Amino acid sequence: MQMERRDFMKLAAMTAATGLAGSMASRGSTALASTQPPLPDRPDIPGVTWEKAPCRFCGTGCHVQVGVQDDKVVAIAGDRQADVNKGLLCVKGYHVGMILYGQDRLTKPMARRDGELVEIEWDEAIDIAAKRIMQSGDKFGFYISGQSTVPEGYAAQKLMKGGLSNNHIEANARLCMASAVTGFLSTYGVDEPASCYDDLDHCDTLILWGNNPAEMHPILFSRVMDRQARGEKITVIDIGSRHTRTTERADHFLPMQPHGDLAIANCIAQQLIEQDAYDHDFVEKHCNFRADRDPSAKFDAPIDHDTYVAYVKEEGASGLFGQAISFEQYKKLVSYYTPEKTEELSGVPASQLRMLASTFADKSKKIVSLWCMGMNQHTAGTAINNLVHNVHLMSGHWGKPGDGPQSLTGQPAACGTVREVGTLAHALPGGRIVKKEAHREHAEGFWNVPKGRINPKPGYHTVKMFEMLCTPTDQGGDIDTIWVQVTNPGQTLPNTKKLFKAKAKLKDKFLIVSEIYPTATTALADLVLPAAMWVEKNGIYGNSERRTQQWFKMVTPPGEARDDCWQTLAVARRLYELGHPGLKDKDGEYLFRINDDAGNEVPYWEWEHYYDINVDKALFDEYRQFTFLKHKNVAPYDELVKHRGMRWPVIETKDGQFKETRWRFVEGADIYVEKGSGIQFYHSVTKDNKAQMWFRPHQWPAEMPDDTLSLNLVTGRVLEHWHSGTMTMRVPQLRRAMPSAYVEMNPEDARDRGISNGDIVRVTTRRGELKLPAWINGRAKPLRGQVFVPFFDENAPINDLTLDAIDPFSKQPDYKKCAVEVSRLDQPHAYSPEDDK
Amino acid sequence: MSQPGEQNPGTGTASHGWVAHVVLGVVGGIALTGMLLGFYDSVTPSGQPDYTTHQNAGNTVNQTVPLAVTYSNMKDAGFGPNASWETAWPTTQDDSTSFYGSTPTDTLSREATLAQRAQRRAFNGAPPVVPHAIDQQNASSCLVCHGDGLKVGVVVAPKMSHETYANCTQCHVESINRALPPTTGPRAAATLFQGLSTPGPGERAWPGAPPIIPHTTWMRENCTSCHGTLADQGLMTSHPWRGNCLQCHGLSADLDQRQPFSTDRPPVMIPQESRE
Repeated sequence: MQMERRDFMKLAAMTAATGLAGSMASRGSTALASTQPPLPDRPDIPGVTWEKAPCRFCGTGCHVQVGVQDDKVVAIAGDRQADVNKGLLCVKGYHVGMILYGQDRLTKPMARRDGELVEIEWDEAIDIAAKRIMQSGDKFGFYISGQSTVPEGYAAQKLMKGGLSNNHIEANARLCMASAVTGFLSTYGVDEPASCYDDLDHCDTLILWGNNPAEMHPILFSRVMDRQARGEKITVIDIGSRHTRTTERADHFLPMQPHGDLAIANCIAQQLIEQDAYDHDFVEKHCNFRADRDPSAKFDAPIDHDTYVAYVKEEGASGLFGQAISFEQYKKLVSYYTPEKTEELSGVPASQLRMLASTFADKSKKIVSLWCMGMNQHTAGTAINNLVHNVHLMSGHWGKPGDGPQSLTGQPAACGTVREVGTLAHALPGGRIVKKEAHREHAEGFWNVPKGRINPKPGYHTVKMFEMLCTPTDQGGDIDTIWVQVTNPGQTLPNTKKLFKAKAKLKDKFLIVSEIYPTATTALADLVLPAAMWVEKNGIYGNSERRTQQWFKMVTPPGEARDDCWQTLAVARRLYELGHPGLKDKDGEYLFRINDDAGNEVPYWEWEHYYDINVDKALFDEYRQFTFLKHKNVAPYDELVKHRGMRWPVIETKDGQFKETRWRFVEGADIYVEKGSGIQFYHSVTKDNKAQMWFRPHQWPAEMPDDTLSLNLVTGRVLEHWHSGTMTMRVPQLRRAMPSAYVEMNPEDARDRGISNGDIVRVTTRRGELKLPAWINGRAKPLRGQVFVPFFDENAPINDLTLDAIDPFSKQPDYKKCAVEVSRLDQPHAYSPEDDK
Repeated sequence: MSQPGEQNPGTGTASHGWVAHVVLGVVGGIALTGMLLGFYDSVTPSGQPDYTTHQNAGNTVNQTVPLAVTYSNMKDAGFGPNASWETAWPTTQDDSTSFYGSTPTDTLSREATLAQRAQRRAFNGAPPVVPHAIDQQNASSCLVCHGDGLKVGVVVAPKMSHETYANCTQCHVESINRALPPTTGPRAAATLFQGLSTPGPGERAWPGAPPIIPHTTWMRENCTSCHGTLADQGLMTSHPWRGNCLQCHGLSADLDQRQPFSTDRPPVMIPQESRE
């Protein structure tokens, strides 16, 4: 640490001195030349060019200006022309250029030989990957990322489903966004938020559902709070289990116990009905009611809550889209959630619940609800997403500027690459699914492959895919090879000992990893492919508000690092050369053929020719054809070049302009809404232009604290670090501000255990234990019974301890709930595996 | 705190005035005695602090939160972010008075100032890190000192160079986290990043002409933050009494970061809002 600080200061001093020498020289010459002034030196650094790019980190989608000098990024500034951030950034964004320059960038392909990774040439690396994929067949899985660019995702998707007839393609967005997707699908019939960030400029009430935007989406939070600082009246209601920097700015804090959100949202509905304060007109015109099972199949009259829960337990849920129920039945079910009952279930005082309900009852208010991982990483994630849409629909706080629900994403292309390109085991591009024959035919048509090429059976979802990798082949583990791109599952999967680290012992399993730095994932890799990142390559992202953003390559990647997209396409070409039949289309042409303007095929799979044409543009404009079916029309590549992102559907008007859409399903703002209908949910599940309001009962978390492990473990991010910290931990400013993981406890829980600030303590769950320093009254303060540990620290892999329980519909794991105990090192262990026997 | 014998003119009627005096005197006396006893109690005969350090099986990380000190030792305690500040009263007063008396910049002080600036930011234009401890949970306390700027002794809390944003810690993080152990392992390696350096002086049309501004002015709209009377001498203007900086000092066209993509925003479908 000392060494590092000295080095930094030396560097800083040298940097300052360089600037100083320049300034002294020019000052001197100006002063001397009293008669004939020489042409003055140009100010600042004349060799710096500035270009636009979206930030590399979260799903907010800020634009930065990247300052480049001598083929290196030297500075970053907020982009004043960007609608999202209007010139401001957060501390990660300001330092995003530095993530390229860690000392240990991977610069050479490596293969594992006798247990050691040894450097090899690219040609050999591509050969190893292609032969392994060829040999694995349907035991091969491709695991990409919500940080993969749209063309990267599209190339991987087309290779897997259109070429290899293999649906085992997943992306890490399964771990962060899947429940939001199932929520949107089951409520509106189509994915992605209908609202946009403009709402943050108009709302007067901000409701945060288990969300800490002051640290996780700072730009969006300050977009609202800066209005407050300028004198506007904005009420912030924070529903959460932790007193955070966001809570500090809130007018009301509703202290919620885990899964209390389910009861709270139902309680709002109960109050709106009881007080007859719901929006009758909106509900009648635009809403249907739905539940896992329609009790009228068995019961003559509407049944009560407990009977219904028992009935569904017996019959099972009827899939993601459930069954229609009557409004009368809905009223009867939701009447269970009185403020008093909800206080019992959620821990939030009944008086605060009444206040929250009366906020929604007030038609004059403009309410924005924000949520992200708190609601999505939830074993009832689909349910709570439905319920928050419910309260907005029911109260009519929907579809007006400043008035509506807004789901946030955690990754820069979770929407663009994963949700829109459909890089998930069940999906095809543009909101299609492999199960539907018509959808498969569309894709087979666009890709010009023979009918029947696409496999109708969904592949394995993320947790299942890694479980199969880590299960011995003779015990049914039928995934033997995974290619990981742009993500770090070795640190971010739940229960990593079971779902990732168990691979170490299985010698017949093979892991290919495209990475920029050594990680917990490359530690177990058999083949490591050094990747170019961010402005070292062309790219396209898509943010939380349907905004598609393009950037150009600005600097050369280090050593032999190469674009992820090139890696995929080079392997595809090698498979073609090896004679894989799937790499030919139905006319016998190469599946990924790209022609130049003269109609000649470009050999872009050779790295030296990769930038002879713009591969991103070719792939993106091909992908664009898929986007019209579900009215997710993305703009052509050349339009995206001109702007700092465009929000789809982007409509081409008669005069040749491309216009973006801010509010979906709203007449006037969305061209697909029929005149006179006001609001029209034109992808409705029930084909009647109505949204579905769901009854979803409260349920308890998959693992609850007990006598042995008496606390609940919540994991998450901190302001300074992004995800597993591979990038941000290599930025000195961010690393020094937040150098290592910690365990955050309520002061009273700490006192009960004799734990002081700074003590190294033992954190134990049923999956293992970890030693961490306690930080009490530090960054945040959890409620009693709650414990928080961030997951950025490679040296403190908290996901070794988390639970791999998943939502039944979205298959997304819950990283916010499992039983844990925290104890002093001189106390006995809270738990031993023997306890389970 | 109650003051002994203090008279409250609103208490009691004329005939009962003497009762109020006696009662207030007694109450005040008791309060004063109690306060002095309170002070006295915390000082042990040996003059040593009367607390014992919390022993915890040797697993306490060093360099964590300082231990509390007694009242008697507080004067010399030296804890917290202000530990290095001069605490003698005459020097703690704001001395930002050199409005007409400032000295022109000299090379040495400029060098020192620029070196210090470079230490606190990743590149020229990056938000500076915070060189002192911060309240992890409360951003708004920053404005107490950095709202108008403050100079106490030799320590300067610069006025913000930009308009007030609500969430200070969104951009400005601690230069070092004093509560947590440092990073270990490969991630602790130094970076190879070399940031944009400090700009030279601004271009002048001829000797004696006012220089143009050699840096971007985005997030640096308030010139007095770095060049005003509270500034370090190396960057301080020679003429702080002139308030309208941009009247003479032009912006540099070379530093217009809107280039080369200065296109308009994309057109949007007409929102419902504008039809109302």
